[in-house]
Amino acid sequence: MIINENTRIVDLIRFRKESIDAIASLSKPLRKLRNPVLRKLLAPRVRISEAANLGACSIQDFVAVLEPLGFEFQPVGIQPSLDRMEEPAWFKGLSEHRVQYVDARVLLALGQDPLNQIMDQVKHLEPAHVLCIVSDFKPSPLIHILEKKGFFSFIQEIEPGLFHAYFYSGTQQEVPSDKAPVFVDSVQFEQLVKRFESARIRELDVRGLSMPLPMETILSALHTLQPADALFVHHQRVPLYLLEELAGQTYQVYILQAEEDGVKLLIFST
Amino acid sequence: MKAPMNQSAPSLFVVLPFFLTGALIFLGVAVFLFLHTEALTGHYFQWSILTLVHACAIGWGTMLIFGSVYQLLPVINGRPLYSNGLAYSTFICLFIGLLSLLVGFYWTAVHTWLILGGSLILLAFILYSVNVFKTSFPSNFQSMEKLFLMSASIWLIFTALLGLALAINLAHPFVRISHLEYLKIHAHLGLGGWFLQLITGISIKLIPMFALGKSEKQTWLVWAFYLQNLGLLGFFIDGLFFGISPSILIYWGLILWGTLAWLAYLWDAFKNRLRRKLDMPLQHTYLSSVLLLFGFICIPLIYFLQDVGLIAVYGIFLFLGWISVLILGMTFKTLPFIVWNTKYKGIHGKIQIPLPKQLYKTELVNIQYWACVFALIFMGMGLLMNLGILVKIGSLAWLLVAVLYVINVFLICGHKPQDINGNFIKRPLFQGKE
Repeated sequence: MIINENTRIVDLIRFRKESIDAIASLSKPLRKLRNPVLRKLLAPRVRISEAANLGACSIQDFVAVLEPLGFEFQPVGIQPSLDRMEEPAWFKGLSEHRVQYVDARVLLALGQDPLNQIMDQVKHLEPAHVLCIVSDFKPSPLIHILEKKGFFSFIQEIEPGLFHAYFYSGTQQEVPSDKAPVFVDSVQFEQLVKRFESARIRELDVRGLSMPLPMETILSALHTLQPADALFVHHQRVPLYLLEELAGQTYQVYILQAEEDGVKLLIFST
Repeated sequence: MKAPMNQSAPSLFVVLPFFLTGALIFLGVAVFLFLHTEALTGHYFQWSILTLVHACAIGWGTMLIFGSVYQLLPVINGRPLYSNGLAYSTFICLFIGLLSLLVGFYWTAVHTWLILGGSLILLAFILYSVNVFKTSFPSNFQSMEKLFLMSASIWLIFTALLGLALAINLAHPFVRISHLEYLKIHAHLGLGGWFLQLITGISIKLIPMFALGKSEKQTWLVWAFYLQNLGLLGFFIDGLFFGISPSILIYWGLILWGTLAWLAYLWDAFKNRLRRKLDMPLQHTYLSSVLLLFGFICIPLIYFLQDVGLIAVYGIFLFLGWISVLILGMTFKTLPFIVWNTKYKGIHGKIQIPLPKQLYKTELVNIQYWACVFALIFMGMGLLMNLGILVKIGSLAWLLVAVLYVINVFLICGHKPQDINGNFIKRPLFQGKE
């Protein structure tokens, strides 16, 4: 049988059952192939190049153990390596609350197929949330499956033998906003204000205005705000409708709930 | 004049009983409707229909509206509610009065219960009106929403007075014209005087705010106010002394004209809106307005055709369609905000907390909306074609609407302060009184 780096493990096994032991002998992670559950899960989805990555060995090592079984290797080219991935835009600044974790190690230890659970999580993934699969090998099959479904992936090797694979369903342009309003105390608020030169702060008092004028005034002020400027607003109450309006935009809002004279807001573009 | 934030914010405990009780009664109405769909296909003067309509109009519609108005009045007027005590008393009178009324209706006209219930409900309406007037005066009289709120409360009292008179008439007959004629006047004062004016008043304030739209056509609202009230007054006086005659079509025309003027104002604000994408609660509002217009179209048809199925469709489209759909949406634009304001008031320290829309399950509101559409189409078709099975399927969908709504209302009311990751917030982060 002629094989190359893209040949699936399942095809090797179909041709010669002894391939299982041959591959398992290469490294400890590849011994998982002897487990019938994992074999059923992995073999149809993993190619030789991916298995080499997974087992931390080279394609040549595979060739060395497979040729004696009657396989003939004809290389087609080098697959892109996951190691060279740079942090994508959607991953930069990703906060923990938007990450949903699935620990595949636990499921595998229990002899369960993690794929079902992962696909279930994928189905119920909240908008703008990111799925993180924790495993002790690079989950190449999963990357293929989810990328076909339109997901972006990013793999991190946290330590040798511990991988975090992140999957995000949005588009690169629609980077999810992390700009939930932050409630601060007076000291923190002062520090924030000090970040801006006084000339760059526009002060606005909407306390005397009746609804919905405060919101309209603030939105029109934000419309003309220079990117490096900040809007300092004195408000009668926490402007919840405004906060919901700004939630999907690129503004960061800091709120100080003062006791006597209402609420102070610092809003700036990020 | 500005009011300190803590004083002008209405108390959660004033409005919560209205919302929780209203939601449970709504569920009760949905269960009752599902079990007694056959009542819909009969004449409207049956005790089961009267029970259902009063539970819906007072226990659900009015209960929720009272809660919302007590929340909105301080915001509209920029000053605290005149009296929290009056608000609690309104709730107690309304609740006991309603129970008594429903017992009276369901145990086929036990007159004492009807009269007791009617009196307590009238008292509740008077207490509510005192609170509305006292909170709205003395401030400038220019705002149209305040005028509508006040005229609505006057019509509400007239509706209750007429209802009470009808209950007394059952025990000691004294009215000159047919009981059924009076019932029509009573029902339409409630619909056109109370619900229509109240909804007009609240919507002209809230819808432009939620959609971030603006309209300069204030004169349309003045027209709406005079036309609606002129039509109602004509209908009330004419109907009271001469019974229902073809002249009601003139009053119908005036009220419709006034309603179109109001809807045109909303449409103008909607056209000029900044927020392009409408959320689900606002979509409920637009569906509700369409259903109101359907209701208007039904009136002359009913007058000429006298079709029982059409009368039932009319009732369903107005009570379950127009009024309920509006409340089903607007609850999520009001209740989460007051709960948020109470639970997160005075929070300090660097912390990210959920926004009001994260206090409930938005996906349930989406399903609720489509279940409403489905239920109304099936019930409407079933009643017009006299197919009981369609009405039953529709009422089952309506039961789903009620269950989803109640789940969300209880989720909001039971919300515990937490950060955006779901970790409950400890007290040191709060400053001042909770």
